[in-house]
Amino acid sequence: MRLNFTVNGRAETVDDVWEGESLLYVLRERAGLPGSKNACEQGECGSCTVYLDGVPVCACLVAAGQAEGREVRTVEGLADGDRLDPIQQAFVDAGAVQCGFCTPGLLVQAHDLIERVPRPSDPEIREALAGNLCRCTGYEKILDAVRLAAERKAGAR
Amino acid sequence: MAFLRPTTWPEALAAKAELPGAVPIQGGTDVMVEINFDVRRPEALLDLTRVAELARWSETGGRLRVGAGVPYSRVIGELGDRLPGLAQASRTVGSPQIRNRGTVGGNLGAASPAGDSHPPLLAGGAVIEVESAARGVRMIPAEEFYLGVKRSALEPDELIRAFHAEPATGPQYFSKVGTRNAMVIAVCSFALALHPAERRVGTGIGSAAPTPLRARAAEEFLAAELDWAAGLAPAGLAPGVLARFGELVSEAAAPIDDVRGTAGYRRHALAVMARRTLTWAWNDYRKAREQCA
Amino acid sequence: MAIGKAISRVEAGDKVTGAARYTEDVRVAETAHAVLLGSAISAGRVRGIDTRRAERAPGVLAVITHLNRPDFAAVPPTPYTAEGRMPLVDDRIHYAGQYIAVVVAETREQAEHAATLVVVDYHRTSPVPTLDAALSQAYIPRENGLARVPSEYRRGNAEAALAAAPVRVEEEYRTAALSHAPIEPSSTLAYWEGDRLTIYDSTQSVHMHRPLVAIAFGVPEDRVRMYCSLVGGGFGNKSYSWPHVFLAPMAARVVRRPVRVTISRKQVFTGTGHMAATVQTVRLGADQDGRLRALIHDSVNQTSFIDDRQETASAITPYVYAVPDLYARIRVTKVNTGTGGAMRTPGDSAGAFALESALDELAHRLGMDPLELRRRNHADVDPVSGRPWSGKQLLACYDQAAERFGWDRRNPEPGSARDGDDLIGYGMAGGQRTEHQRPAQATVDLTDDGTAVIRSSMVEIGGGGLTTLSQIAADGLGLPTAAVTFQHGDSALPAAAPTFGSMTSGSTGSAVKLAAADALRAAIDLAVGDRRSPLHGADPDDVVAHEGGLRLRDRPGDGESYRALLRRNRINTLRGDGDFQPEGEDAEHAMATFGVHFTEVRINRYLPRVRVVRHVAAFSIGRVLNAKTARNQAQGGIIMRLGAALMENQRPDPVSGRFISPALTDYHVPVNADIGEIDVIFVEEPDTNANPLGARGLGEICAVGICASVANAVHHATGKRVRSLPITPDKLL
Repeated sequence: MRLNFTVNGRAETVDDVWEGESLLYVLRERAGLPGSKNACEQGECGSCTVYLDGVPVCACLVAAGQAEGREVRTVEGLADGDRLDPIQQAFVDAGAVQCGFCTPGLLVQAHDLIERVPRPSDPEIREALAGNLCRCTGYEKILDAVRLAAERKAGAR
Repeated sequence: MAFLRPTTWPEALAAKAELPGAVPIQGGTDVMVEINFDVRRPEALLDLTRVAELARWSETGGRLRVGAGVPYSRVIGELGDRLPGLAQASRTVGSPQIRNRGTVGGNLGAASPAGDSHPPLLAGGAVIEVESAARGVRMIPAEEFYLGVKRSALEPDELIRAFHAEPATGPQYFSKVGTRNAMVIAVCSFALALHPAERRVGTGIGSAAPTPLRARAAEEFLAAELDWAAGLAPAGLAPGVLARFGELVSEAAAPIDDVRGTAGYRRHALAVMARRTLTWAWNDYRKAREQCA
Repeated sequence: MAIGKAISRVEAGDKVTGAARYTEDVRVAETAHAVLLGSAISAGRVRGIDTRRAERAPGVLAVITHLNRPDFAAVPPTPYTAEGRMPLVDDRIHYAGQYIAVVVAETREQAEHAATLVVVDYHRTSPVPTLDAALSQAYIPRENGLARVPSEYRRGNAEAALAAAPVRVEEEYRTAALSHAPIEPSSTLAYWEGDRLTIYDSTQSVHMHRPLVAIAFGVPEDRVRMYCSLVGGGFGNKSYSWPHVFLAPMAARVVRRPVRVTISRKQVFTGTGHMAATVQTVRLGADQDGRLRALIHDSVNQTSFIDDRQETASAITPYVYAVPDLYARIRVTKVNTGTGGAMRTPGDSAGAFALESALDELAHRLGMDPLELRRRNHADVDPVSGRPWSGKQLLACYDQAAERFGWDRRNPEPGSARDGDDLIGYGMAGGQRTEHQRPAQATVDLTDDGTAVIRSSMVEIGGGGLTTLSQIAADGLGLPTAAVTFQHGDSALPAAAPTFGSMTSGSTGSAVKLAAADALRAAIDLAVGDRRSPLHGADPDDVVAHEGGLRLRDRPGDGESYRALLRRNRINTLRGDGDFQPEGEDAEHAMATFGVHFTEVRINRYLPRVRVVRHVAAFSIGRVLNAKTARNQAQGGIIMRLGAALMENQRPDPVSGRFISPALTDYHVPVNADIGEIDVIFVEEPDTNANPLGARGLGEICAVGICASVANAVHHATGKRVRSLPITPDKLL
């Protein structure tokens, strides 16, 4: 089937989509956006987290056809051109990146958190990111990064 | 495989009637896992996310009707005051991403004994509204909905449209045990609802039997033992009542040993959760009574 | 100086924008997709396999089974070939999930679907399902699965010393099978051009694995080019070539197209190893004053019917404490499970649980502080060889971590600390890991734009090697780290040490340091011999690197930039070579890394689930190359092992032996919401006895001793001694 949707602000039409395909597959294999990672295919790891109409979801659990006419934003769409989003910059500066495979999903989820809750508490951060597994288990630095991004964003306001 | 996109409820019913093998998909949190793993390859996916009414809830005549497509995150955000037990349970479902997509309707459709919404639906006396093009609407009490492991009373040509429940008139609590602090499928879970107007107690047990179930003996025991008028003459719960209630809840379960926990631990944990939720609920109830007085 | 600074990762920008390319992100035109069908039974034979429906399914290019596979040229050597048997070689089934067919199709979805259409007729035999079922058959393997680790070690007469000791502890300890569970599932993409093979593989070492593939397919090593620049987590499972690595090139030969195999999440659990379950006994004998007289540590682990792979749980024991009489043994026993593999931290992590728990039991019996017991038995020199340590700051680790933790506030009485319904416990344990080194090569090119390029085949698995090695080159040449780039992850480059066994810093790092020094020397020689250089005629030993160029040590004004020097001489690049060769067996010093852990647990009285609310660790690893990457890696190692302490358990089905829960839904690893405060101290002392860089490995020592520290804290909280991991609530009822 044909699928029309918007991804990172760009209108996208892809053909020959299999009806059982996931949005993640479409993004990675058809839309040239392999930033979102395929790691568990059951919503358990969070590596494929993307915005769907402004709401973070696991792209592996969205049927491709459900994205018809909708807006998707992936890790590739967080930065403004060459300027990193504060959450991306904070992950770099705080040393919250290790192997990096969980990072794309974590960034989208953390980005959503500080959009909704500008100054999240530590328990709020940990709870919000509980669905993003990091097996390098860099959870301490990830926490630092979200705090840092929230502070910077609040300071910029 | 076909991908069906009805935009109205009648269209959805018609599609399901025509293709009973079509699998309804809402948040995808169960269905897509099975397709990703090639556990099944249905003849069609019936996408219900475009049927707008399913994502709405309303309150009329003192009863709530919650569309099958309302995600957990909205149950938490919009219905926390009216359905506190269900909202608590919703907070423990998967991850925020899952709660953004997953729905009570989907939980009912999957009918897993470990589904988090079942115990509060049982405790709150919810009724499930299902419908087929051929036979119209059926209203199924939650207690009659669960038939076996991942089997429900839903017929092949039926779709789940909504569930109905009364807004809480008394304290409601949900408790769940898992091996970590988030992202857990319940080792076992328990929901309690006090219904002071009818001097009735509701319970729901999850993940400790082939189906979610009520602890009827525990409900009856507690309803008779509770001093419902207590607020004015402050009387705590007698330790004997707490302990017996825990025992009765534990005895109602039929747990097994599995990868998530042992039967023995499940029985123990159910008794603890029963005592705990009762303590919380009774404290709330007494406080509310004191404030009224 | 860049070394030691907490600079940000050089590849972090790519990783936060989604631009980083992992193996599964590599795209090659005309790629076909292979899906691997695993056996449903754990022991027996494939009596018949009907592939006709699968072959007719849409998009299918080939279905390869043991009946129609091409031959492998040879079986490459273990242990880095994960299984000592090539896949699809015959009809025998040794474990559930063992690959019995490869389905190749145009798309992954088509291959997956076709795989469900393969009909297998199994002949079942009775499996050996569990370690317990096989315990009586334990044996010392004839051929050692891991090089240089003896299966048996003896000094003095431990049995006699034990019998004579006034105080004894003799207990059995068990560790569960664990899964590496990296977030990136392994992926291999292979294509042939004649007899040239190009292979993108999620591997922790292109140079260790390239020869294995070459041997299997009977082509010269230089005809195989293996790439892997980034790995999305390995923890040891990508330090082996698992069967899928050989099946991808095989399938590519059959369909004459590039073929990708990305294993499923389930196959990550069943097909890329695990840390084998162990049953260990520890017997300690001591004087009343806590001096250890005898130590016997006996370990048995499950291995597969294909291999004799040791989980070397007691291998470190002879080196840890000053015990005169000691016996250690490692045995294996065959179970119908897949072959295990080194997982952070192989052997030592499981072994430390037993040894450090037993020491806690001894301390309790003696009425002695557990930290004091360890101090009294401190090994001032290597107890095995008598050699001095290259560097050991363990006593300082004890002091600093104990102080930071507040160990002196601990009331030794179990069950004495409470907060409402919470029982509170403090525990501690030590950890030690033998430092390994391997030969490593690198070049560093100085370029005429004043930058430098490191060339070495290192794979970045997350430890931060790209960054720390860039810092090393930058310091060696007097450049900012930003002026250093890194070509890596390609077998055509000089051979790095593998990115496992904590060898990046010490071995590849030393090669980079040598290469940078060589490049600097070449630049100096060029300058002092160049009449047009302000440094002409100077003594080369007086010339130093400084801010992008060279100058005289004592006369800062006299010098020039690399850029000017090279351009004037019309030289594009000046190459320095680095070849690090470890000292080997006859080294003057014994080398190890050391650590200590302190843990606070809180346990609800009624639903006794253990929560780790606070953990303080201190490590002695020589010099810390980058405080930011090091801290993150160490905290990660601790949290990973907290998972082993409290939840991780790859449990076998008691009848079939297959893993019951090969999925992240039930193989629980820690999530963010589980974590309390994790504090890490590095007691630094540059260790130039170990290598030119002064750094020893961190990635593994940070994950040794945590389980025992938690178990000891649980005992302190509850009075209950849990000797079997993980410490789940049912064990505390």
